[in-house]
Amino acid sequence: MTAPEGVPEDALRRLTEMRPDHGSGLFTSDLSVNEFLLVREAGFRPLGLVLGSSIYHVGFQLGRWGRNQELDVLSTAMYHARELAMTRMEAEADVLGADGIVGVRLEIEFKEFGSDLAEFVAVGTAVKAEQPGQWRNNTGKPFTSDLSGQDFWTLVQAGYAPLGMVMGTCVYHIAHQRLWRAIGNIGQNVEIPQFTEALYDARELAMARMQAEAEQLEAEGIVGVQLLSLPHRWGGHTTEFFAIGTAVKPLRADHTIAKPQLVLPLADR
Amino acid sequence: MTEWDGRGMPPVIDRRIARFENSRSRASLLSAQDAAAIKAVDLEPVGDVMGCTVQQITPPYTFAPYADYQGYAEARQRGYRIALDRLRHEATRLHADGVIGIRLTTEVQANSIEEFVALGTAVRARGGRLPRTGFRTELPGPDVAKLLFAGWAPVDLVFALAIRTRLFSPQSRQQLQMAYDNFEVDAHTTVVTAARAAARADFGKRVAQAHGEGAIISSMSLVTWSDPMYYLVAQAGVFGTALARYTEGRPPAPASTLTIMPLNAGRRRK
Repeated sequence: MTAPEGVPEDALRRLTEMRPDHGSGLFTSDLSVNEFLLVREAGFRPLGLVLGSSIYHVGFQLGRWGRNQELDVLSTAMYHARELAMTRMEAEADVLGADGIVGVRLEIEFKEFGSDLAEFVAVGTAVKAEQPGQWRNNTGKPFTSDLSGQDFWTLVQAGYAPLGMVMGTCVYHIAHQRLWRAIGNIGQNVEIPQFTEALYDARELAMARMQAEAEQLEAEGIVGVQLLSLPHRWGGHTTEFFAIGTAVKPLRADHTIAKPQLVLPLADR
Repeated sequence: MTEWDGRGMPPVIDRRIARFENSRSRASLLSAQDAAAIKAVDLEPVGDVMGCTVQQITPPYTFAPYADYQGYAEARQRGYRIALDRLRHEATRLHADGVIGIRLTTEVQANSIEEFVALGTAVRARGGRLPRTGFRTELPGPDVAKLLFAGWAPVDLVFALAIRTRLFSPQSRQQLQMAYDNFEVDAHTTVVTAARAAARADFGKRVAQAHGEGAIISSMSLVTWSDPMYYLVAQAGVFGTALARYTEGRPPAPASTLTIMPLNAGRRRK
């Protein structure tokens, strides 16, 4: 097997030793106890914690002062760096012989190293199904899912399988108000159509990109979608709009779950 | 009071133990939920236990091409290890079978002086046997109970810490500051990846040494800094509880999860 780019040699060796068919069977996982037990009950065995990381220099692009526009250099950076982290995590899972990765967290942290340097890191727990089945997605990769262990269990119970995390990103520069308009609006309660339009536009771009990724995976739908606006360190008018969710496919025709018992908890949480 | 020479255990521990033995009231750090949960698996709280140590830890002087952070990494691990060993010592003196809900914290007291504290609640198995006495875990009561019900037992608190360095010359630093395009920074990615890989490998090894069959990681940390001699330094840490399969003398695990719908507002994880 050729070493996937960016995964250290000794990590590969260690992961190969952790493969279930190589004996030791030792697993590591950052799932909580609840999640660990539920994932096992859903018919999956945790194989090991998998991780991918990339420290990325995010380029520089100025938006025009008075114009709503996507900053494509920054959008590309966000896509590329996340892709690197995800691919490395998937490569580790592949070495473990996993069917999928659950509880994935995809985080960005700007580092002490320098102001334009951000670490993109993807962490999750690689799992293998007890019953062999068609769990990998149409690109032959292990499925990925950012659902919690509880949501994952419920999803499988309801006859769906995760295919992969899908995301869409758009870094958008929101125009500043023209001076004469800003002066005209002083003391008024009015909609600022330019701002509304910008936020609409940016979200639409992010959502459409996420949907396109799901279509590539031939998914039936996307669950657990989060639509975030992340200001990062670009100042007030430049924001990343980020849509992320888990694309799912049906496992069977009916999607009913056992009728739940109702309980009234004595705690507020 | 004579000054303690740092060998063995601090003499005040004897007084702590005497206090426990002469008193019928039991202190514990458990919440009501913790206490109820461990009762269900025949564990009873014995008392709150602590281990602490104050260490002087100084970063090494680096001089290209030498950057040896080995001693520094070992010193930090020693801090955690001593705190945890002292915690276990107290638990043993109280005739406990294990310690649950351990909170492991560090606090910088002054320049390069750091305190490592481990706090937890010692528990004893009532009647029933436990797979290994002297277990330690960060997991709270309900988690310990759930694991025991499902046929798993906590074995020990395991941690690993690794530091990796890489020279990053002033020229490269300047180039990076001038850059305006998108690219992955190799030097930084390599050093961070290497530190994490080393910590994870070491963690796996320690879980195996503790005779664990698996581990639940409770926290992973990564601290990075640039040292004055142009080294990039990455320190990665992994903390968790090693688990082993255990079914003997326990009620069998519930056959299936009960699907219930709580009648309060649903909350999302995050």
